[in-house]
Amino acid sequence: MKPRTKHIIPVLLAAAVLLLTTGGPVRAQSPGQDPIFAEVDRTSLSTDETLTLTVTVSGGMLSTPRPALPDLQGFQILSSQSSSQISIVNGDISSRVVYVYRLQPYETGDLVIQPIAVTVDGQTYSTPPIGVQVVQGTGAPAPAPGSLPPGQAAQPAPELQGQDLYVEAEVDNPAPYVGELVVYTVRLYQAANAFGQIGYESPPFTGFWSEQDTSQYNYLAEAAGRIYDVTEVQTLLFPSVVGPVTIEPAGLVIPGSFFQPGQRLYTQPVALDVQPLPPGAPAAFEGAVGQFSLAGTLDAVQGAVNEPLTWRVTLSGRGNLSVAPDPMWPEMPGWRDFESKASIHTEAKDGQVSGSRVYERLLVPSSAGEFTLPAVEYIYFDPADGQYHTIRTEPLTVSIAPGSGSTAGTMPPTADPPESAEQAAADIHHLKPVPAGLARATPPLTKSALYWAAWAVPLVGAAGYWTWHRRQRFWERNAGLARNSQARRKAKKALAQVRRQDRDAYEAAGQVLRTFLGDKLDQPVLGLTHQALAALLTERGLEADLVERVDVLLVSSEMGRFAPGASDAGHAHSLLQEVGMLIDALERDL
Amino acid sequence: MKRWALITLVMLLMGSLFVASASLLRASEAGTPTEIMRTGNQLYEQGQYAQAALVYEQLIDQGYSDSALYYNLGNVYYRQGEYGRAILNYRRAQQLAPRDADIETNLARARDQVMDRVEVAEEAGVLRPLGEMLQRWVTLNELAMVALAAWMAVLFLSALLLGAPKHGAWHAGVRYAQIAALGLLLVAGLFVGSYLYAERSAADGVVVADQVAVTSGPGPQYVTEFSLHSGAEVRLVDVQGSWARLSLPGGDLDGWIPANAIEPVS
Repeated sequence: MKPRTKHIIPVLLAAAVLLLTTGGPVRAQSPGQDPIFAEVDRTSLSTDETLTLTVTVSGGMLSTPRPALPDLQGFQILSSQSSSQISIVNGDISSRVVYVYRLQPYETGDLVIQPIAVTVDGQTYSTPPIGVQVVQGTGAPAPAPGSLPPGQAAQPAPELQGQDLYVEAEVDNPAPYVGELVVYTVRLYQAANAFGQIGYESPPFTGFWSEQDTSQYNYLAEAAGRIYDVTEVQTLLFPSVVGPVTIEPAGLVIPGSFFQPGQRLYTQPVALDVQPLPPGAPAAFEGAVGQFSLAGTLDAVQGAVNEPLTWRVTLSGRGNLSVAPDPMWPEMPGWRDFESKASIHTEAKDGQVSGSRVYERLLVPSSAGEFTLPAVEYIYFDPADGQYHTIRTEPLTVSIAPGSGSTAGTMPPTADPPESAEQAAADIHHLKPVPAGLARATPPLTKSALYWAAWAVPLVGAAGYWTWHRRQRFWERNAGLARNSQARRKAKKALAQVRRQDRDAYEAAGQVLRTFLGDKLDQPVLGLTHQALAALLTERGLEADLVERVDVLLVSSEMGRFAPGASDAGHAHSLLQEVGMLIDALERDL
Repeated sequence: MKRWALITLVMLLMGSLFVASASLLRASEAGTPTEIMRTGNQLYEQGQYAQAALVYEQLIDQGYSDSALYYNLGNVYYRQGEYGRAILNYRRAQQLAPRDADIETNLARARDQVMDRVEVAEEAGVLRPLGEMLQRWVTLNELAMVALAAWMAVLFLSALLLGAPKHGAWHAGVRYAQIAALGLLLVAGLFVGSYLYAERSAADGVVVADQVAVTSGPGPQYVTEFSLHSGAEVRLVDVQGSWARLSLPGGDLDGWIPANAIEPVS
């Protein structure tokens, strides 16, 4: 047989989304004002229909608190789902968690969804009440269009009377509670195996949440005096609406052969009367139906400040674990907790859906001491005894030692938790911690002008140093030339110094002039007589009037130094000026 | 005295330029990006890998380029089974921190998950193999700084020799140091050149699409030569419009794939 899988939940969700976009949803509060707002997909419905309540909690925090649902008088929660989204725009972090509840009304009239509250940073926000009008439904959900081909109306066989082929369908419980497991069984009786591969068309199961996998069994049975090869297909269903519900006929496509045309057989419709859950549900009940147990473990009984611990809570049992609501996590003051996704393991076997749902929560203690992790609660309705049950994990104690380099009571850093040795051996290495500063993308140094300037500038400096050094060496090797070229500058500097220091101007004038002449002639002239100096200057080609001016100035200098009463400050300064002018004149000719 | 004062001045100038150049390696620090990255790490710890990837990618879009950032992003993609993008980000992290053992380990583990095994033949020539070998050990900036330091040392030691006595143990020591610095300069220069040559002659790319057909021309109308899978590391030869030309290491196989199926490492 070829089972045709039906996805009820996605269809319903898609329908809910369609209604939200086209049907004018009613919002209790517009988003963006308070951290919580709620909306329903419709304000009037019948007891045959379901209501989608969407609660959105948003804010600028990484983990948003879970809203507290009020007592939904007149409704029962069929399922709940949540999705989260974190966005970062220009460095601002904002998070948004959307909780979607599917509600089934079991009372008629004007029902009210009381305010839904959430506490953020110690302040409680709540939505306004939402009014919904509920009318009595017809009892059966609308049939899915196209469930049967035109002209081929369902013709259920009356009963097994020895036919070659016979199909029948039944459920194990025609009056289940909403959310309770129902096993839908289709049996095909074949008196002869001459029909090849038979196709199975599953009914749409409108009003049910169904397990995708079907179970198939084959056995032999004797009925109406014949031996039949019986093929049994079981589908596990969870009713999601209250009241009379009909499962449409399942179809069987019998292929034809050379001697016989193909045919199509249908089971009879199966009618159920789905019961609402009895009143008296605890306020925190969120719609779990089945038989469950809850266990909690901690990966270590001892820890240290800022070192993470893993708190594992396992919900196991029989029921629709795929859409079961999450347990209520207690407040954990003094701890930072990080929720991870729950892993679900379910198995459909022998007409039961059993399995477990494992939640892992990372806890980081922020202070040292002995702690008791509070119990986690879970409320479910057990159809077997018709009672609501509250189950809890055992409280867990843990001893937290002061961490290295930390003090009790300090906020834990967001250090990355270590990996286990087993993981490290087979897994990738763990995350890098956040560096003190994130580096920006920069082009490589080879594309930086500054980098190449760093190459060029020292080269220029070295070239300058080399030039200076060469020049020094040159002057060292040509001392006479150096004295000649620097004689005027040296003399001018000496004259200026004489003027500033108020020295004996007559002595200085003669000394400066003789030093200048010695530098220019590259020989000492201090010991030469006036006549010898004049002869030397003439020999070097100096014009006669300049030779005479040199002689006159030297005589004036000596007169001022040695003749009493001849010294005069004004004359001495004019003598210095004349020396300066003479040096300029001599510079041109020597 | 003046000579030594000048030498000291030149030395100080070189030192200050070296420090200024070294500062180019450091990036500016900012407080907010580290907070955002911490958020990404927390999301990773919570198993919200898609959200963590979003956070890291946003930081990269904002111009941050840190080896830890790319490494963590690689981990996120690895956890999601996107080994192509994991390898791509590990490779980018390795370019910034080539001697990081964590990056090397995770890159190797991501490569173990890749479907395509490319046998790489030895390439002819010296520069490109040398450059590719260097890329696994040092960054281009590190080589550039070594070359600059060697250049400054050569100049400084030359200046010292110029002003020093021509004989004696001190002169010989400076001379040997100058020769060593000159040798280092030549080697560093060769390494920088081969590094740049290897980078520019064939940019590396990583296939990020799950599976992509490699065609003989830039379009789907051409013959499909072979297929590549996510994580295949190839040479990105050219990009024409929305098509990219690639060749496998060794150059034996080449072809075209849609440009959005491949990401360049650099």
